[in-house]
Amino acid sequence: MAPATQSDSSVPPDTSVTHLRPWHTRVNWIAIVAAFFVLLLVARMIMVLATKSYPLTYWGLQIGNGLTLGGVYALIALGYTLVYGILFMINFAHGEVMMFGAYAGFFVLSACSAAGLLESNQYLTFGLVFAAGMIVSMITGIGLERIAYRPLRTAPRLVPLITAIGASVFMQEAARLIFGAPIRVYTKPEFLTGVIILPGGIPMPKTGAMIIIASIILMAALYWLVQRTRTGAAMRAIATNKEAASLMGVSVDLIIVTTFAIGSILAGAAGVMLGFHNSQINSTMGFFPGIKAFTAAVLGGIGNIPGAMLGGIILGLAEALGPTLLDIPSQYKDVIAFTVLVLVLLFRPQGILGSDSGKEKA
Amino acid sequence: MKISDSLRSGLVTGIAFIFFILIGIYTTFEALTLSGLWLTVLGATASEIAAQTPTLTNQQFSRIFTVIAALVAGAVAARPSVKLGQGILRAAIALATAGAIVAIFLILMNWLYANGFNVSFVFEKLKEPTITALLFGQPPLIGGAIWVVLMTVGGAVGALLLFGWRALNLQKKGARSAGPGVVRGNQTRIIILAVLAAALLIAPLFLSVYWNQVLGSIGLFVLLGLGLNIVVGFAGLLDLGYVGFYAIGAYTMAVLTSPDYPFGWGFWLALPIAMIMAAIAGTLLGIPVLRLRGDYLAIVTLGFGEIIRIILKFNPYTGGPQGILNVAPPTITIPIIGVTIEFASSTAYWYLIFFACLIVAFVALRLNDSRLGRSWAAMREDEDASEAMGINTTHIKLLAFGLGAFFAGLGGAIYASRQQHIFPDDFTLLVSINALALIIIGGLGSIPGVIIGSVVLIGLPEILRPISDYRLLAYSALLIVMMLVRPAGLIPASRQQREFAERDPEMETVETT
Repeated sequence: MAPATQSDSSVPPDTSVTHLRPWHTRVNWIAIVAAFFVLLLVARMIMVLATKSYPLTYWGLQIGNGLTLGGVYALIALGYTLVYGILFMINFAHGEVMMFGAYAGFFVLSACSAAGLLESNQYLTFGLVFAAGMIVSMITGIGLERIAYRPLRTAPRLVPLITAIGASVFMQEAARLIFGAPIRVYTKPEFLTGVIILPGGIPMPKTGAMIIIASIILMAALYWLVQRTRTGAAMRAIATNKEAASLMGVSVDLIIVTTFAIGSILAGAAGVMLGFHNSQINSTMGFFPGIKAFTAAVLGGIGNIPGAMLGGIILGLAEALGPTLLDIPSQYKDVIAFTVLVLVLLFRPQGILGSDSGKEKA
Repeated sequence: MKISDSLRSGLVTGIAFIFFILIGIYTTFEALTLSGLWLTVLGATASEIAAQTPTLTNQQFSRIFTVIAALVAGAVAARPSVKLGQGILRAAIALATAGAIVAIFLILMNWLYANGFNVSFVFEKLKEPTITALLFGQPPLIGGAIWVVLMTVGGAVGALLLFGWRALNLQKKGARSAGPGVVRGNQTRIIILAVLAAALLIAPLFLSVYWNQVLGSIGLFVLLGLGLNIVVGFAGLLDLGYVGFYAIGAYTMAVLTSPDYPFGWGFWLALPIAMIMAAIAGTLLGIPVLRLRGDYLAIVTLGFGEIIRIILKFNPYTGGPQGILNVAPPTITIPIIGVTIEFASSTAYWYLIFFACLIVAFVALRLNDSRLGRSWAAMREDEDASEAMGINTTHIKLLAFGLGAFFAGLGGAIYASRQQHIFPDDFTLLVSINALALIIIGGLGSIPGVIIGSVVLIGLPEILRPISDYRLLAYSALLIVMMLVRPAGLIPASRQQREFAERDPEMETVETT
């Protein structure tokens, strides 16, 4: 969670000693091959752009889609990055926390729709759905930390990671058994149906616009919380040095719980947004966005808040624009996401905005 | 004795029972009459099992489950007590609380139904008849009271059992310390292993096709687990994309032997190619992740596994989502007579898998004790230190990835040939998680652990058919509980065992501060 952009001027310390080694071990072959691969991709893009032409509105639509996806990824990625910054563990079950929020939102939405509130006051309903999603996700996140992660805080690194994988599958299965396997359909409030036409004649679904605006608001709120409040200062202190922070009077347990709660609230909001945007939810909905969001967090530099936002948006754009740019079927968008991750990690193992200390953590 | 402890464990137990109700363990619970007290339930169920079928029905399962859950909860609640009376009191208070919580929940649900709310819209398994049945067909308050009484009795019995077990254990310990300890020699172990191997060789001839298939599935997962164990257990590289190499082995076998493709090779010719292809893929994918550690490695390998599956799924050459049909079975031609035997039965496949497991287990055992195995252990413990000691970590990491993938390819090739048709969705992340779960439950780095893990995770669900719907839930719960209670696994490898034992006192001091 350290402030970003201090890494670009520093030179890796080990470059001065490498002269003692023969030249072929001094060259980073992996990077050269990867660079060649990147060149191939760029060449392919130029070729595609030269041979095929798409109208401007098409690009606008795709960029809009990318930003929408990116906003959701960024919100979920923030949860990963907050927890990672403090505990150095991947909360693999974070996507499932989001899924529970989406379900809670759905049930409140159905209740409001049955009570007629959806017709009479759609904005209030919208607010209630969001609140329900965020609260339930928060409770889920706190419970998860208490039951599965807290007892393992001092265990070897592999142990909490495996627990998190177990928790992810457990929550997915529990949701399937409790709420049932069939998909549930979100009814959109009237003010979210249809598209708005941006300048230049670019159509954009209203839910997409809602996601972009809401994620900006939530991210700004988070940034304020982490940088300007006492809680945020305590969180940053623990991220820097847990023991020193506790000696300074920071309650480590309380702050860790708070961190989980904040990350889960963001995930709950993301879950409800995904529900409105895709209009359907099921018990496995959290898994892939979760993995993608983690990818986004790693991409931006894990433990780094602006990095998670940037990573999410880059990933969303890559997924939305990649298939067109490379002229491949859109089913391969997951392949693009992971390829971007591998390429970034090859050149900057600490992520785009990660500090050099991120290398040690990784 | 603090009453708040009992109340808290009662709260946890109550929530756990509500969870069981929500996930539908009681869906088929018929209305129990008042005579269905704990012991009667147990007795009746036991006689039903004995009389009717060797497998459990849903209802019997849910009854046994409830009884065991209440007994265990009682024993756990009574654990802090030393005196019998106090323990029983503790357990009774805790379980009465739990019973009251369940009762309040059921009464609330009943009230909701009575007032026209459709609870099953939210909680799918909570149909109205289920609630009525869970209230024993009585008016809500009486039904709730029965729950409290039954749970209290169950808790008390659980506490009694705990103290009985303790007394028994004390006696045993006394007896053991009196006489000289029995040291099981190497010879006895070899004899046991030989008997076991002989049983595994002969038994399939008498077992039904179904059981042969179950054995085969266990064997395939043993293969997969042994390979993954090299990567995760020996070298400490958390590889979540392991299923990708399994898929590559399977698809290579399928493409080379299926009549839909121009090759049309035999099984034995395609087998080494499949393994080599998987090993090459493993090494190639190992190169870009060489510099990554721990969590980053996990997510990137997971990505690779998904990439392989997606490419296989949307690529027309590998048959797309429909997969590949008609994979050739292995044949053996006896040279002098010229008779060709085709592997058609599941028994034959079992022998194939069994020998493959033996070979791979032998290789893994030898690897672990070799110079390479020790280098892996050193790297697993501290990568920088091992590099400073002159270990070429690049080299041994790639070897771990390659060897692990090599064995995954073997498993995949046999799988493809046994199924005779493969689909890309046979190779989801869940297979990786299954393999990981079984080596962790068995004990990371331990070869007998892999076998026990596969028997527990792959074999047990086959026996407990009624819980097949709860299989993944049980897996994941087991995984979490194992990590919390016994992170070294059921049969820990000696190295890991020492490691975890060393860490224990350290953990306690940290927690008390």
